[in-house]
Amino acid sequence: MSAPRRWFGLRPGLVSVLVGLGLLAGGVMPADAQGFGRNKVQYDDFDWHILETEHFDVYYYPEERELAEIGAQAAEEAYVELEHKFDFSFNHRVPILFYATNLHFKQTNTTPGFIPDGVGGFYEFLKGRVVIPADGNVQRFRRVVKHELVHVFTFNKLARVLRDHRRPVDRFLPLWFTEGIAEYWSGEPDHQHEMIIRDAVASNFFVPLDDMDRIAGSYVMYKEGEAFCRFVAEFYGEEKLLDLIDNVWRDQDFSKVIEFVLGEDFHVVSDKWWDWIREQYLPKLEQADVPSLAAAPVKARGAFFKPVVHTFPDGTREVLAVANRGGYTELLATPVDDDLQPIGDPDVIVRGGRNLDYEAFHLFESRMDVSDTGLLAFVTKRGERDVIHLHDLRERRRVDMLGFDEMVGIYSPTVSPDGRLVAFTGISTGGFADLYLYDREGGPAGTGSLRQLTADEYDDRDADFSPDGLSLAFSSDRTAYAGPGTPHFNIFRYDLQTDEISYMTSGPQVDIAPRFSPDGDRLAFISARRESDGKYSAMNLWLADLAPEADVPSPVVSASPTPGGAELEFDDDLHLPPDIEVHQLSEFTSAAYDPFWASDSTLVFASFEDFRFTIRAFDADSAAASPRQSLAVAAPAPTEAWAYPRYQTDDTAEEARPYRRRYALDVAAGSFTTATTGDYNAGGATVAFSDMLGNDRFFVTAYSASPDGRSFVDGLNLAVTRIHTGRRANVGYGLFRRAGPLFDRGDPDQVDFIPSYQQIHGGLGIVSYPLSSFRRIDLSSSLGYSAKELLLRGDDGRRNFDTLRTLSFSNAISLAHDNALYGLFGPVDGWRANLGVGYTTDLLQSALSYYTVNADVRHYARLSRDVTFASWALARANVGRRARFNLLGGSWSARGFPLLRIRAERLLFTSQELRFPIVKAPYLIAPTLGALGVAGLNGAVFADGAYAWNGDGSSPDLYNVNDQTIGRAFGSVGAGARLNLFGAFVLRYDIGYRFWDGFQWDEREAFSQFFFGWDF
Amino acid sequence: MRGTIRPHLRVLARLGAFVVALSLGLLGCTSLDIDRPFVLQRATEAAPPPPLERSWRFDADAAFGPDAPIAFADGRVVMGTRDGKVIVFDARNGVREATGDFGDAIEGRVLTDGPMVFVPVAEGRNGLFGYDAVRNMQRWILREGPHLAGPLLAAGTLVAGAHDGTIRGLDPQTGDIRWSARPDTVAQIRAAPVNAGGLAVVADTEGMVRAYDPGTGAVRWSTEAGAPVYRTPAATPDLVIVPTTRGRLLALDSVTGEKRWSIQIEDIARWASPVIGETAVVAGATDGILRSIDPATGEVRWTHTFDGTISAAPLLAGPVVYVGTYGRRLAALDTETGDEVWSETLGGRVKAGLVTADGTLVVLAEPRFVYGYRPQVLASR
Repeated sequence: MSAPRRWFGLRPGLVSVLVGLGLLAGGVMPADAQGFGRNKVQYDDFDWHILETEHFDVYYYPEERELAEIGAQAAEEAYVELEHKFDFSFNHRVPILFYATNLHFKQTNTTPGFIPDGVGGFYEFLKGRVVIPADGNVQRFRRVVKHELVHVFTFNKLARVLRDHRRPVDRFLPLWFTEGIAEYWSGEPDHQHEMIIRDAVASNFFVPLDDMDRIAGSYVMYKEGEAFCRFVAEFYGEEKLLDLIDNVWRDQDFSKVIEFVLGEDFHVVSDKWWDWIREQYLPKLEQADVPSLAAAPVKARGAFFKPVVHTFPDGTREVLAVANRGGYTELLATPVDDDLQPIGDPDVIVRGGRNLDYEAFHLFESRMDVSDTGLLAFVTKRGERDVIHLHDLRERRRVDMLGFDEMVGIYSPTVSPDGRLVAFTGISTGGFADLYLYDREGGPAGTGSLRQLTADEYDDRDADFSPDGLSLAFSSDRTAYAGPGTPHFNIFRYDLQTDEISYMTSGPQVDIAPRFSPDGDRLAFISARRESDGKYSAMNLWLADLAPEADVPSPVVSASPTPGGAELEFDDDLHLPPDIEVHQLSEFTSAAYDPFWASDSTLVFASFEDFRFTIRAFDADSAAASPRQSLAVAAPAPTEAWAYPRYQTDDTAEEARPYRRRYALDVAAGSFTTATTGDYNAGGATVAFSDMLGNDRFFVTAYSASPDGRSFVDGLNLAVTRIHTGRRANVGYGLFRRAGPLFDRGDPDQVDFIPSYQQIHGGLGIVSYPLSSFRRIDLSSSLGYSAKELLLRGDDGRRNFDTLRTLSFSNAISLAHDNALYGLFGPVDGWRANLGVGYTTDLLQSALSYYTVNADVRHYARLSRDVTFASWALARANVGRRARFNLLGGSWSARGFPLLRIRAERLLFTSQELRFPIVKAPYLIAPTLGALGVAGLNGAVFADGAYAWNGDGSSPDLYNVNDQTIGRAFGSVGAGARLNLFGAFVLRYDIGYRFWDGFQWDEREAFSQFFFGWDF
Repeated sequence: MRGTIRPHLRVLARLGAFVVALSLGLLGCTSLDIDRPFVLQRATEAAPPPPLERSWRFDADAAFGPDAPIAFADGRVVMGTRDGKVIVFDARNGVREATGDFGDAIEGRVLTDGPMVFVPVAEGRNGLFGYDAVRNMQRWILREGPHLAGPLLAAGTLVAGAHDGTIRGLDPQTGDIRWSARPDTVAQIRAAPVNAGGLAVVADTEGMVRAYDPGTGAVRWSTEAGAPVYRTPAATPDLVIVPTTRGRLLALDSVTGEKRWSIQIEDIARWASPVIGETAVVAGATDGILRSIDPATGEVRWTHTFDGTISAAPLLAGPVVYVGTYGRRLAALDTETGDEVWSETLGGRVKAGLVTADGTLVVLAEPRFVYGYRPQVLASR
């Protein structure tokens, strides 16, 4: 659903480069400028169209037209309902942008940050737009549409209430409430809601109302917020939810609003809520088993998902799982004994998030499989689409990587016992999830062949090959017990010989993740079923007995093997009860996921408990001998195939209105300052415009820094910049005028305190082409006419005021790499580098002409989970006439020296730093620190060293420090502490000794330095 | 010595005066000054016939509660705003006669009686003001917490419902509490009491409808509406129409409280305050449909669908019914058929009831404007 804003990382790519260069405000681009950061790659050139409904402008691309019609209908249905619930109507059309898949959604420019898996959509209130991906599960897609529209209503209603009462509209509802009401009003609680709340109660981390800030932004917050809204509706009345919004003007403290609306003390309300929760869940939990007690641990520390087990020919076994141990996501193989207990350190099969091939795992969505021959199949994101990797576990190498043009997303591959066939769920560019079968040797000349098994709007997932390789078990909402707004899943069998689909389980429940036992007689799966109070049960392990004594045909539904064949019909003649019995093996407090047979009698599964995923082993034979309950699979009632309602429009896909860029204001900001010396005033404003898709942005900056004695126009600075990020090659260009006393420490002409007056008129351009998420090439060019008044050294060697006129033309190319992983204080793992060359010349009179070479490499070695050794090597040189100076000094480079005051044309620099925690979570020790925003305290010991010199052989000088020079070799050693505030700001304090000339110990001088910013 | 003390006293006196003035300024100094008492219209004035034309508009500085302003025989209109102002203006030209600041939001309808103005305040301790607007002096304050609904004057007693659910009968001149009733519920009062044949009928957020004897506070009858009541009911000596928040519109006998009929629409729909005419009950709801209902049988005679919620009472007077919507529409419908005979799009949503005075239709609309509409031939005069 709506993403907590904390996942917005630094803006990747071009904008960060431009911002880093200060070009949005205008300026000549130094050829030695460089930037880091990962890239948000625009792999696809979407042909956007607009479907106009009664209240919405639905933005879509032709491939997802069907999905857009389903989403548009869902939005209109939601609007009608929410209009009642909010007692409110819109007087404007709401833009909704649909993306067919999660990978398309990750490319959106409507938000500047990276979007991780699991973000169901968001409402961006600046432009009032809603952005939602589908990713195969149409049920969830429709629900997210409603969830986001609740946000739209909430935001607009809140703004109206505040304006009505003449209150500032900067007041927001607490995030837990806005997300809670969005969850509550977007549908009945699903099985994941029950999972979270049950676990919170059972594991005793349920957070009371007055402490909700502690879980801000977490998934628990969403579900607790939803539970609170349900409590208010059931205990006080549904109308009170709207009252809470209607009365928010009364107090900035939302607890006071709660007290007014509910008529009770805030803590009484909180206690009643907790009692309400306990009344519902404690009786359920009394009969339930805690997974950590009922199942043996296999991997019980860290976060582990999607387990599979492989037995090698020599009888040794490995449990494989996707894991995150606080850094990059990894695929780990842990050797285990006969009892599945680890007997050695895990082997890292793949470390994700570091290169293109293994760009990212789908931690929660995609499970793995391994064949009898040791062929492991798993999925990662690779560029614009997902790919299936086939790893030979016995040879420890990748043998194949499968990607298909027909689909964008791929989930949960399964491999036939002989390793020849691979079945999986593919998400097409239309946004629907279907089953595909890939025969690695089925094509001509030994090439592979792809076959689409299903082609409809149902969500088919979690396929598993039967041991004979002739059929697939899979989970789907194609059941007669599901329907629009009723997200039930059953297990089905796909007969690969006849293309028939038949029920393996049936009923109004959520059955997922089927796995055949090695002998094929049983099928393990996960099921959450309705209980007597209508709530879903925990997600438990179930077993289907496939070896019947009686021979009764299964109910059969026809498959839809041809694309567009959505006419799935349940066969009226074959709705006899299937000859399958199902047994409930577990009654867990929270949830089990992804069972896998370690043997004919033992399952491993991912256990959710105490808000963590671990891997556990479960004795299925013993549990099957005394099941919690046994049921014959009920026959589905004969019914016609159901379909999602679609928005009916005369506007056909061919005639749909194409998207046209229209620009609207994003940001406007202004300021005015007067220098403390009183000799100049500065004031100005920046406005930014962008189109609805966020692909095209204009920045207009105007400010005046009028030096004393000069006119307003003399100090007028203007810049107009356009940045287009709608294509893979990001382009930015602009025109600018800079004027005033331009301080530039890199300018070799600025030698003392006397500020020069300078005017620069020019243009700039940059093209940034991402090779992958981690690597890009930047090309930049700028042309600027400069008239600079300053002290110039004349032919007689004396300095006189004069005007230097240049037409500088600068070009640069650089290659940037960044796969660094960030912690609270800066990078903790990975590496990043920027290599670049450039040339700058004066086209008027060759007053300047110099080359630039830059090499900047930073490496982060993670010694343990919390300790990192960071290394930085930097070489920079500007060589030629009037070459700019490179700058060093300050808290990030050459510590102990003034910030960016060391100037030299050529320099070598290195820094080595050991980073370690001092207090990992100080707010747990002293809660007051949490209120003050103290998120963590780190320490560092460091050694910096540099060698810098100028073309004429002179040593570097300290800018504006009385022409002071230092030796060519200098550096510092010391230690420091870093304090993270609010997860966003880092305060730095360093102490140590610095060396001025050749690292002579007698040159040492103690220093202490305070600054702010992330570690390098 | 005297010569040296006096300057100090003057300084102290000035300082004291400054502190008093500052305190009054900070605390909010209530002031509402009119030159003649209010005289209620004898009967609901016939609405001006469409087509209408906007005659004037003024900015009230803040928005308005859901209930309609109150109009007087001399063409004056009194209304409260959500930033605590009471505004008295002339409906003919929109000129303000007086403005008083009562400190905080006014959600309910402001009531008048001769020189007295009774102002419900929705925030803080000062729940209800009794103010003599002719003498420009505050007579009394009921410090019993917020009042989100306006009071009712019945049989010489001021009946007011506080947010906490307490109903009080007050002496309108002194503010003395004559009686008080606090039903044993957590219900709150959002809807104003209405006069039904001499009884003060109060509906609460628990859906309980009670008829009080305004003189004694005795409950004459009570009925469950079956759903919370947030909007003010409509009443005649014969009939009480109760709008609920869950799709139910209920008609009760004013004398006995017995249910006459009810209408159930979608259970998530909220009814706006209805209006009772001689031959029809007209009410809108959040489904955007305005319904004309036979007051005797509850039969829906006609419906008219608008784009946007209807949240405020329509104005039914004469051959047309005027209604404002959240879709910014101001429309006139034929009372008999429901056909639209005139409409206009406003700059903002209409969330408050309409009122007519001196041939002018007064419309309160977002963001905070008061419009005066007059027949086209008169508007330019």
